[in-house]
Amino acid sequence: MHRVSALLRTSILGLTALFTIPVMPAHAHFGAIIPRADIVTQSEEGNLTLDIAFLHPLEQQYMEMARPKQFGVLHRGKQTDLTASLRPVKAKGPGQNNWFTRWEAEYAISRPGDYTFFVQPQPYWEEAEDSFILHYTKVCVHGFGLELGWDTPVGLPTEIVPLTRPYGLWTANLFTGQVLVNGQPAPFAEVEVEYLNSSPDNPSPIQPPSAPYVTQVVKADSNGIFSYAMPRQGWWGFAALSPAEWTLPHDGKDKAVELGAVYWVHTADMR
Amino acid sequence: MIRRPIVHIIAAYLLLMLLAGTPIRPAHAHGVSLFAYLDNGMVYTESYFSDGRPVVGGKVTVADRHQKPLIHGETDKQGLWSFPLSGALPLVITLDASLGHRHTFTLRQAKQ
Repeated sequence: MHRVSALLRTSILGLTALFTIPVMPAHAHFGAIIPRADIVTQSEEGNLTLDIAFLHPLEQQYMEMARPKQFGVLHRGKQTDLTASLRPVKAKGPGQNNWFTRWEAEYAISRPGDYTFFVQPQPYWEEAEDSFILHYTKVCVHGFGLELGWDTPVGLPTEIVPLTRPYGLWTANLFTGQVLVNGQPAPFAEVEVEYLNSSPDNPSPIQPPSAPYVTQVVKADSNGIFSYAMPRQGWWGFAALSPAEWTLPHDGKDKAVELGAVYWVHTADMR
Repeated sequence: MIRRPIVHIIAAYLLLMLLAGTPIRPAHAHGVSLFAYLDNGMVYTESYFSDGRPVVGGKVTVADRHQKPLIHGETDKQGLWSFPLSGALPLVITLDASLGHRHTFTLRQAKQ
């Protein structure tokens, strides 16, 4: 019943957005892991569904996502491989004629502490950019009041390590993170920020007045540290981009690879 | 007017506390939580501050779903306390760690 309601709400939001958002070129790509909750306080809340997708979050446009190379979770210093738990789901955004593959997984938050979920996708070929895109994506779910682990790096080739505790955030809070590439700070990395228009608690679809409003852009400082204040309740994605030092073949030619370190946080209005 | 000897005593006391390594941390900044799970007929509770420090000497009370008290105990140096399950789930388990720190956890499932 909840699933039907959520789908209906998403459809309504999507259709509304379709008729209200001006036609504009697609912008930032984001890997995404969106759990049904980012805080678990009682055991009956612990069975989570996580949605994993590759999309334009504000425009709600999906891209085809191949089965991720790895999906896992880090809890109290221990990594667990959850790749086998992934199941494909078809998704379609407003105005999209085709269905695209995203992924779902179930996971039980069963012990105190912070759970950092992460995805290492397969490289995505983006014809328009003549390059591959590879977004290493993370999200943190807090369990049972023990605030330990949210600032621990997973050890991905590139990742955002939060300097702000990434849950229990109010709308307009400042989120600060550090961009790492190969475990080292990435000076002056460009960080793209987008709001997930299909956030379950989005009160109404966003209608950006022009293209620059779709994707916010901030630059990290010399230590790879960036900040952004999130003006609306719902889910926010941060994607720090860097070129890979290696290439991948496509049609017999070597092509550049854009690496992304993506992190998702949720905000709630003060009531 | 404060007499000089009293000022000296207060200053000496503060200095002594600092030298003794009294932790300078806000008492209320970290919330407390209790987590419980059932294993082989025993209910195990863990009580901790949000930063991971154990709640030592916390009062734990257990009630049934109608709030009828069943058993109570106190956490040890690791913040742990356990008891045998004698009734039906759910159990409403409340930690009172003093200083206004209080948390209630409802144990509903046999398997966590």
